[in-house]
Amino acid sequence: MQFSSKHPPFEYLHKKWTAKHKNLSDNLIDKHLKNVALGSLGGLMLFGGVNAAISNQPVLPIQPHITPTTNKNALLSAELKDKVPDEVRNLNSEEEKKVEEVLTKFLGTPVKASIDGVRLNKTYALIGAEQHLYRYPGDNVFAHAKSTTDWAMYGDSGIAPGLGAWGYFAPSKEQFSEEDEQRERYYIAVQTFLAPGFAENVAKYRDFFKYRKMLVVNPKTGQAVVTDIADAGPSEWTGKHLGGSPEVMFNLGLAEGPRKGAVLYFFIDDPQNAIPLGPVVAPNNI
Amino acid sequence: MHKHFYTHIIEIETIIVELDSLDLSPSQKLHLSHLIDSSLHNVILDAILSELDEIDKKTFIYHLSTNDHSQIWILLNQKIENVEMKIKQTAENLKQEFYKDLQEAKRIKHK
Repeated sequence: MQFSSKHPPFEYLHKKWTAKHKNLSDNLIDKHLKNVALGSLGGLMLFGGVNAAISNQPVLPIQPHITPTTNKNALLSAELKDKVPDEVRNLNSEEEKKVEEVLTKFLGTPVKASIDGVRLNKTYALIGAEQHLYRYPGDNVFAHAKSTTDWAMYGDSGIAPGLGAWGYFAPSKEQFSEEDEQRERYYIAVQTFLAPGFAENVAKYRDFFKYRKMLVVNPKTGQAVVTDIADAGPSEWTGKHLGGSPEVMFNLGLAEGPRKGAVLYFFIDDPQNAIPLGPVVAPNNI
Repeated sequence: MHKHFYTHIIEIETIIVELDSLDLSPSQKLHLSHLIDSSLHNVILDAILSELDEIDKKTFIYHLSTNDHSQIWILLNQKIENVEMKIKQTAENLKQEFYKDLQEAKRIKHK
Protein backbone atom coordinates (compact mmCIF):
# COMPACT_ATOMS: atom_id res chain seq x y z
CA MET A 1 0.00 0.00 0.00
CA GLN A 2 1.45 3.32 -1.05
CA PHE A 3 1.26 5.91 1.66
CA SER A 4 0.73 9.57 0.88
CA SER A 5 0.31 12.46 3.25
CA LYS A 6 -0.55 16.11 3.06
CA HIS A 7 0.21 16.68 6.68
CA PRO A 8 3.22 19.04 6.80
CA PRO A 9 4.05 18.50 10.49
CA PHE A 10 4.05 14.76 9.91
CA GLU A 11 6.21 15.07 6.80
CA TYR A 12 8.67 17.22 8.71
CA LEU A 13 8.93 14.78 11.63
CA HIS A 14 8.98 11.75 9.36
CA LYS A 15 11.95 13.05 7.38
CA LYS A 16 13.86 14.37 10.35
CA TRP A 17 13.33 11.38 12.60
CA THR A 18 13.96 8.82 9.87
CA ALA A 19 17.34 10.46 9.23
CA LYS A 20 18.06 10.67 12.93
CA HIS A 21 17.13 7.03 13.39
CA LYS A 22 19.34 5.95 10.51
CA ASN A 23 22.30 7.81 11.99
CA LEU A 24 21.79 6.22 15.37
CA SER A 25 21.41 2.76 13.82
CA ASP A 26 24.52 3.12 11.67
CA ASN A 27 26.47 4.42 14.64
CA LEU A 28 25.42 1.49 16.82
CA ILE A 29 26.31 -1.06 14.17
CA ASP A 30 29.64 0.54 13.32
CA LYS A 31 30.75 1.03 16.89
CA HIS A 32 29.59 -2.15 18.54
CA LEU A 33 27.67 -4.72 16.59
CA LYS A 34 29.97 -5.46 13.70
CA ASN A 35 32.53 -6.99 16.00
CA VAL A 36 30.46 -8.36 18.80
CA ALA A 37 27.02 -9.38 17.91
CA LEU A 38 26.12 -9.89 14.31
CA GLY A 39 26.94 -13.58 14.36
CA SER A 40 24.99 -14.36 17.47
CA LEU A 41 21.40 -14.73 18.54
CA GLY A 42 21.81 -11.57 20.53
CA GLY A 43 23.04 -9.85 17.44
CA LEU A 44 19.94 -10.85 15.59
CA MET A 45 17.81 -9.32 18.30
CA LEU A 46 19.82 -6.15 18.42
CA PHE A 47 19.84 -5.96 14.69
CA GLY A 48 16.07 -6.24 14.70
CA GLY A 49 15.98 -3.37 17.13
CA VAL A 50 18.23 -1.07 15.19
CA ASN A 51 16.55 -1.67 11.91
CA ALA A 52 12.99 -1.31 13.06
CA ALA A 53 11.18 1.43 11.24
CA ILE A 54 14.09 2.78 9.21
CA SER A 55 12.14 2.38 6.02
CA ASN A 56 11.27 5.59 4.27
CA GLN A 57 7.69 4.43 4.08
CA PRO A 58 5.56 4.99 7.13
CA VAL A 59 4.76 1.88 9.07
CA LEU A 60 1.09 1.06 9.05
CA PRO A 61 -0.60 -0.54 12.03
CA ILE A 62 -0.81 -4.25 11.55
CA GLN A 63 -3.52 -6.38 13.06
CA PRO A 64 -2.25 -9.75 14.23
CA HIS A 65 -4.13 -11.63 11.53
CA ILE A 66 -3.52 -15.32 11.79
CA THR A 67 -2.98 -17.44 8.72
CA PRO A 68 -2.28 -21.16 8.52
CA THR A 69 1.25 -20.47 7.34
CA THR A 70 2.20 -17.90 9.96
CA ASN A 71 0.74 -19.13 13.19
CA LYS A 72 -0.40 -22.38 14.70
CA ASN A 73 -3.33 -20.64 16.34
CA ALA A 74 -5.11 -21.14 13.03
CA LEU A 75 -5.06 -24.84 13.88
CA LEU A 76 -6.99 -24.06 17.05
CA SER A 77 -9.56 -22.35 14.90
CA ALA A 78 -9.81 -25.46 12.75
CA GLU A 79 -10.15 -27.63 15.86
CA LEU A 80 -13.03 -25.50 17.09
CA LYS A 81 -14.81 -25.21 13.76
CA ASP A 82 -17.23 -28.10 14.22
CA LYS A 83 -17.61 -27.52 17.96
CA VAL A 84 -18.81 -23.91 17.94
CA PRO A 85 -22.17 -23.03 16.34
CA ASP A 86 -22.39 -20.53 13.49
CA GLU A 87 -24.82 -18.32 15.38
CA VAL A 88 -23.85 -16.73 18.68
CA ARG A 89 -25.89 -18.58 21.32
CA ASN A 90 -25.39 -20.31 24.64
CA LEU A 91 -23.49 -23.55 24.33
CA ASN A 92 -25.15 -26.64 25.76
CA SER A 93 -23.25 -28.74 28.28
CA GLU A 94 -22.10 -31.24 25.64
CA GLU A 95 -20.73 -28.45 23.45
CA GLU A 96 -19.03 -26.82 26.43
CA LYS A 97 -17.37 -30.09 27.31
CA LYS A 98 -15.93 -30.49 23.81
CA VAL A 99 -14.66 -26.91 23.81
CA GLU A 100 -13.16 -27.39 27.30
CA GLU A 101 -11.18 -30.39 26.02
CA VAL A 102 -9.79 -28.46 23.05
CA LEU A 103 -8.89 -25.39 25.09
CA THR A 104 -7.34 -27.43 27.90
CA LYS A 105 -5.10 -29.17 25.38
CA PHE A 106 -4.30 -25.82 23.79
CA LEU A 107 -3.33 -24.08 27.04
CA GLY A 108 -1.86 -27.10 28.83
CA THR A 109 -3.85 -26.21 31.95
CA PRO A 110 -7.46 -27.08 32.86
CA VAL A 111 -9.93 -24.74 31.19
CA LYS A 112 -13.47 -24.98 32.51
CA ALA A 113 -16.94 -23.52 32.06
CA SER A 114 -17.43 -23.67 35.83
CA ILE A 115 -15.24 -23.97 38.89
CA ASP A 116 -16.62 -25.05 42.28
CA GLY A 117 -20.11 -24.79 40.85
CA VAL A 118 -19.71 -21.15 39.87
CA ARG A 119 -20.20 -20.19 36.25
CA LEU A 120 -21.07 -17.17 34.17
CA ASN A 121 -24.28 -16.69 32.22
CA LYS A 122 -22.52 -17.55 28.95
CA THR A 123 -19.37 -19.13 27.55
CA TYR A 124 -19.82 -18.08 23.93
CA ALA A 125 -20.91 -14.51 23.32
CA LEU A 126 -20.21 -11.10 21.85
CA ILE A 127 -17.28 -9.13 23.17
CA GLY A 128 -16.99 -5.35 22.71
CA ALA A 129 -14.16 -2.88 23.21
CA GLU A 130 -13.69 -1.28 26.61
CA GLN A 131 -11.52 1.64 27.64
CA HIS A 132 -8.49 1.56 29.91
CA LEU A 133 -9.17 1.58 33.66
CA TYR A 134 -7.67 3.81 36.33
CA ARG A 135 -5.04 1.73 38.10
CA TYR A 136 -4.14 3.92 41.07
CA PRO A 137 -5.13 7.37 42.31
CA GLY A 138 -3.70 9.99 39.97
CA ASP A 139 -3.34 7.59 37.03
CA ASN A 140 -3.92 8.92 33.49
CA VAL A 141 -4.14 7.42 30.03
CA PHE A 142 -0.62 8.50 29.01
CA ALA A 143 0.89 6.66 31.95
CA HIS A 144 -0.56 3.40 30.59
CA ALA A 145 1.89 3.38 27.69
CA LYS A 146 5.17 1.50 28.07
CA SER A 147 6.48 3.17 24.94
CA THR A 148 5.28 5.67 22.41
CA THR A 149 4.38 2.79 20.11
CA ASP A 150 2.32 1.30 22.90
CA TRP A 151 0.52 4.59 23.27
CA ALA A 152 -0.02 4.93 19.50
CA MET A 153 -1.67 1.52 19.45
CA TYR A 154 -3.78 1.68 22.59
CA GLY A 155 -3.91 5.29 23.79
CA ASP A 156 -6.84 6.34 21.62
CA SER A 157 -9.15 4.04 23.53
CA GLY A 158 -9.15 6.51 26.38
CA ILE A 159 -9.82 5.80 30.01
CA ALA A 160 -13.15 4.95 31.60
CA PRO A 161 -14.53 7.68 33.86
CA GLY A 162 -15.34 5.24 36.67
CA LEU A 163 -13.24 2.63 38.43
CA GLY A 164 -13.31 -1.08 37.67
CA ALA A 165 -15.47 -3.43 39.72
CA TRP A 166 -12.75 -3.92 42.33
CA GLY A 167 -11.72 -0.26 42.55
CA TYR A 168 -8.13 0.75 41.90
CA PHE A 169 -5.66 -2.03 41.08
CA ALA A 170 -3.27 -0.55 43.66
CA PRO A 171 -3.78 1.99 46.46
CA SER A 172 -0.99 4.26 45.16
CA LYS A 173 1.51 4.65 42.33
CA GLU A 174 4.29 3.57 44.69
CA GLN A 175 2.50 0.32 45.48
CA PHE A 176 1.54 -0.35 41.87
CA SER A 177 3.18 -3.64 40.85
CA GLU A 178 3.96 -5.48 37.63
CA GLU A 179 1.08 -7.83 38.41
CA ASP A 180 -1.31 -4.89 38.79
CA GLU A 181 -0.13 -3.51 35.48
CA GLN A 182 -0.74 -6.81 33.70
CA ARG A 183 -4.15 -7.15 35.32
CA GLU A 184 -5.33 -3.86 33.83
CA ARG A 185 -3.65 -4.52 30.52
CA TYR A 186 -5.42 -7.82 29.96
CA TYR A 187 -8.68 -7.25 31.79
CA ILE A 188 -12.16 -8.21 30.71
CA ALA A 189 -15.54 -7.10 31.99
CA VAL A 190 -18.09 -9.89 32.35
CA GLN A 191 -21.71 -9.93 33.43
CA THR A 192 -21.05 -11.21 36.92
CA PHE A 193 -24.45 -9.88 38.00
CA LEU A 194 -26.13 -12.33 35.58
CA ALA A 195 -24.20 -15.36 36.82
CA PRO A 196 -26.59 -18.08 38.02
CA GLY A 197 -26.86 -17.80 41.83
CA PHE A 198 -25.21 -14.37 42.03
CA ALA A 199 -28.06 -12.69 43.93
CA GLU A 200 -28.00 -15.37 46.64
CA ASN A 201 -24.20 -15.40 46.99
CA VAL A 202 -22.99 -11.88 46.36
CA ALA A 203 -19.98 -11.93 48.67
CA LYS A 204 -18.87 -15.42 47.65
CA TYR A 205 -19.22 -14.65 43.95
CA ARG A 206 -17.47 -11.29 44.28
CA ASP A 207 -14.46 -12.99 45.82
CA PHE A 208 -14.57 -15.74 43.21
CA PHE A 209 -14.69 -13.40 40.23
CA LYS A 210 -12.11 -10.89 41.46
CA TYR A 211 -9.18 -11.09 38.98
CA ARG A 212 -10.26 -14.61 38.06
CA LYS A 213 -8.34 -15.74 34.99
CA MET A 214 -10.26 -16.57 31.85
CA LEU A 215 -9.11 -17.80 28.46
CA VAL A 216 -10.77 -15.75 25.73
CA VAL A 217 -10.61 -17.16 22.21
CA ASN A 218 -11.65 -15.79 18.86
CA PRO A 219 -12.81 -19.04 17.25
CA LYS A 220 -12.63 -17.58 13.74
CA THR A 221 -8.87 -16.99 13.95
CA GLY A 222 -7.71 -19.03 16.93
CA GLN A 223 -6.29 -15.90 18.56
CA ALA A 224 -6.36 -16.39 22.32
CA VAL A 225 -5.62 -14.28 25.37
CA VAL A 226 -5.30 -15.14 29.06
CA THR A 227 -7.31 -12.41 30.73
CA ASP A 228 -8.56 -11.54 34.19
CA ILE A 229 -11.93 -10.27 35.36
CA ALA A 230 -11.53 -6.68 36.55
CA ASP A 231 -14.91 -5.17 35.80
CA ALA A 232 -18.60 -6.03 35.69
CA GLY A 233 -20.59 -5.39 32.55
CA PRO A 234 -21.69 -4.59 29.94
CA SER A 235 -25.36 -3.84 30.61
CA GLU A 236 -27.83 -6.19 29.00
CA TRP A 237 -29.26 -3.50 26.70
CA THR A 238 -25.94 -3.03 24.88
CA GLY A 239 -26.37 -6.34 23.04
CA LYS A 240 -22.83 -7.26 24.08
CA HIS A 241 -22.05 -9.80 26.76
CA LEU A 242 -18.51 -9.04 27.80
CA GLY A 243 -15.90 -6.35 27.20
CA GLY A 244 -12.18 -6.45 26.56
CA SER A 245 -9.39 -3.98 27.26
CA PRO A 246 -7.76 -2.33 24.21
CA GLU A 247 -4.90 -4.82 24.47
CA VAL A 248 -7.24 -7.80 24.72
CA MET A 249 -9.23 -6.67 21.68
CA PHE A 250 -6.05 -6.14 19.67
CA ASN A 251 -4.71 -9.57 20.51
CA LEU A 252 -8.04 -11.16 19.60
CA GLY A 253 -7.92 -9.48 16.20
CA LEU A 254 -11.00 -7.41 17.05
CA ALA A 255 -9.52 -3.94 17.44
CA GLU A 256 -10.67 -2.61 14.06
CA GLY A 257 -14.02 -1.93 12.43
CA PRO A 258 -16.97 -2.47 14.77
CA ARG A 259 -14.56 -3.62 17.49
CA LYS A 260 -16.71 -6.52 18.56
CA GLY A 261 -17.05 -10.18 17.74
CA ALA A 262 -17.97 -13.63 19.00
CA VAL A 263 -15.60 -15.21 21.49
CA LEU A 264 -15.35 -18.23 23.74
CA TYR A 265 -14.53 -17.43 27.36
CA PHE A 266 -13.77 -20.10 29.92
CA PHE A 267 -12.25 -20.08 33.41
CA ILE A 268 -8.64 -21.16 33.79
CA ASP A 269 -8.11 -23.44 36.78
CA ASP A 270 -4.83 -21.94 37.96
CA PRO A 271 -4.64 -22.09 41.76
CA GLN A 272 -0.83 -21.66 41.68
CA ASN A 273 -1.12 -18.49 39.56
CA ALA A 274 1.28 -20.06 37.08
CA ILE A 275 -0.29 -18.98 33.81
CA PRO A 276 0.81 -15.48 32.75
CA LEU A 277 -1.71 -12.98 31.46
CA GLY A 278 -1.48 -12.03 27.80
CA PRO A 279 -1.74 -13.48 24.31
CA VAL A 280 -1.24 -17.22 23.90
CA VAL A 281 0.64 -18.81 21.05
CA ALA A 282 -0.40 -22.32 20.21
CA PRO A 283 1.99 -25.12 21.17
CA ASN A 284 3.34 -27.40 18.49
CA ASN A 285 1.14 -30.32 19.48
CA ILE A 286 -2.21 -28.58 19.04
CA MET B 1 4.05 -4.84 23.54
CA HIS B 2 7.65 -5.74 24.29
CA LYS B 3 8.88 -4.27 27.55
CA HIS B 4 12.52 -3.24 27.56
CA PHE B 5 14.74 -3.57 30.60
CA TYR B 6 14.82 0.23 30.93
CA THR B 7 11.10 0.89 30.37
CA HIS B 8 10.43 1.62 34.03
CA ILE B 9 13.04 4.38 34.27
CA ILE B 10 12.27 6.20 31.02
CA GLU B 11 9.59 8.87 31.11
CA ILE B 12 7.79 9.21 27.77
CA GLU B 13 4.66 11.01 28.83
CA THR B 14 5.86 14.47 27.79
CA ILE B 15 6.65 13.25 24.28
CA ILE B 16 3.37 11.47 23.71
CA VAL B 17 1.38 14.43 25.01
CA GLU B 18 3.15 16.63 22.44
CA LEU B 19 2.72 14.07 19.68
CA ASP B 20 -0.93 13.78 20.54
CA SER B 21 -1.47 17.49 19.90
CA LEU B 22 -0.55 17.21 16.20
CA ASP B 23 -3.82 15.61 15.02
CA LEU B 24 -2.04 12.73 13.35
CA SER B 25 -3.79 9.76 11.79
CA PRO B 26 -3.37 6.44 13.64
CA SER B 27 -0.87 5.19 11.07
CA GLN B 28 1.16 8.42 11.21
CA LYS B 29 1.14 8.33 14.98
CA LEU B 30 2.26 4.71 15.02
CA HIS B 31 5.02 5.35 12.51
CA LEU B 32 6.50 8.28 14.44
CA SER B 33 6.17 6.32 17.67
CA HIS B 34 8.18 3.46 16.17
CA LEU B 35 10.90 5.92 15.23
CA ILE B 36 10.98 7.40 18.74
CA ASP B 37 11.08 4.03 20.50
CA SER B 38 13.63 2.53 18.17
CA SER B 39 15.86 5.62 18.33
CA LEU B 40 15.71 5.60 22.12
CA HIS B 41 16.55 1.91 22.11
CA ASN B 42 19.57 2.46 19.86
CA VAL B 43 20.93 5.40 21.80
CA ILE B 44 20.55 3.58 25.13
CA LEU B 45 22.27 0.47 23.77
CA ASP B 46 25.07 2.65 22.44
CA ALA B 47 25.50 4.32 25.82
CA ILE B 48 25.69 0.97 27.59
CA LEU B 49 27.89 -0.83 25.10
CA SER B 50 30.31 2.10 25.11
CA GLU B 51 30.99 1.40 28.79
CA LEU B 52 31.49 -2.36 28.57
CA ASP B 53 34.53 -4.36 27.53
CA GLU B 54 34.22 -6.99 24.79
CA ILE B 55 33.42 -9.88 27.14
CA ASP B 56 30.79 -7.93 29.05
CA LYS B 57 29.29 -6.73 25.78
CA LYS B 58 28.72 -10.34 24.76
CA THR B 59 27.20 -11.18 28.14
CA PHE B 60 24.95 -8.16 27.94
CA ILE B 61 23.82 -9.03 24.44
CA TYR B 62 23.11 -12.60 25.50
CA HIS B 63 20.89 -11.43 28.38
CA LEU B 64 19.25 -8.97 26.04
CA SER B 65 18.49 -11.74 23.57
CA THR B 66 16.87 -13.85 26.29
CA ASN B 67 15.04 -10.78 27.64
CA ASP B 68 16.38 -11.55 31.11
CA HIS B 69 15.94 -8.18 32.78
CA SER B 70 17.20 -9.19 36.20
CA GLN B 71 20.49 -10.55 34.79
CA ILE B 72 20.89 -7.44 32.67
CA TRP B 73 20.56 -5.20 35.72
CA ILE B 74 22.92 -7.35 37.80
CA LEU B 75 25.55 -7.03 35.08
CA LEU B 76 25.00 -3.31 34.50
CA ASN B 77 25.06 -2.44 38.18
CA GLN B 78 28.34 -4.35 38.57
CA LYS B 79 30.05 -2.89 35.54
CA ILE B 80 28.78 0.65 35.12
CA GLU B 81 28.73 3.24 37.84
CA ASN B 82 25.41 5.09 38.18
CA VAL B 83 24.07 3.13 35.24
CA GLU B 84 20.45 4.10 35.84
CA MET B 85 21.34 7.76 35.86
CA LYS B 86 23.37 7.37 32.68
CA ILE B 87 20.50 5.66 30.89
CA LYS B 88 18.06 8.30 32.08
CA GLN B 89 20.34 11.11 30.97
CA THR B 90 20.98 9.53 27.58
CA ALA B 91 17.27 9.13 26.99
CA GLU B 92 16.58 12.62 28.26
CA ASN B 93 19.07 14.16 25.82
CA LEU B 94 17.42 12.46 22.87
CA LYS B 95 13.97 13.32 24.17
CA GLN B 96 14.94 16.97 24.25
CA GLU B 97 15.84 16.74 20.56
CA PHE B 98 12.48 15.11 19.84
CA TYR B 99 10.78 17.77 21.90
CA LYS B 100 12.40 20.58 19.89
CA ASP B 101 11.39 18.88 16.64
CA LEU B 102 7.84 18.61 17.90
CA GLN B 103 7.77 22.30 18.73
CA GLU B 104 8.98 23.06 15.20
CA ALA B 105 6.34 20.72 13.74
CA LYS B 106 3.70 22.62 15.69
CA ARG B 107 4.90 25.88 14.22
CA ILE B 108 4.63 24.36 10.74
CA LYS B 109 1.11 23.24 11.58
CA HIS B 110 0.04 26.77 12.47
CA LYS B 111 1.62 28.47 9.44
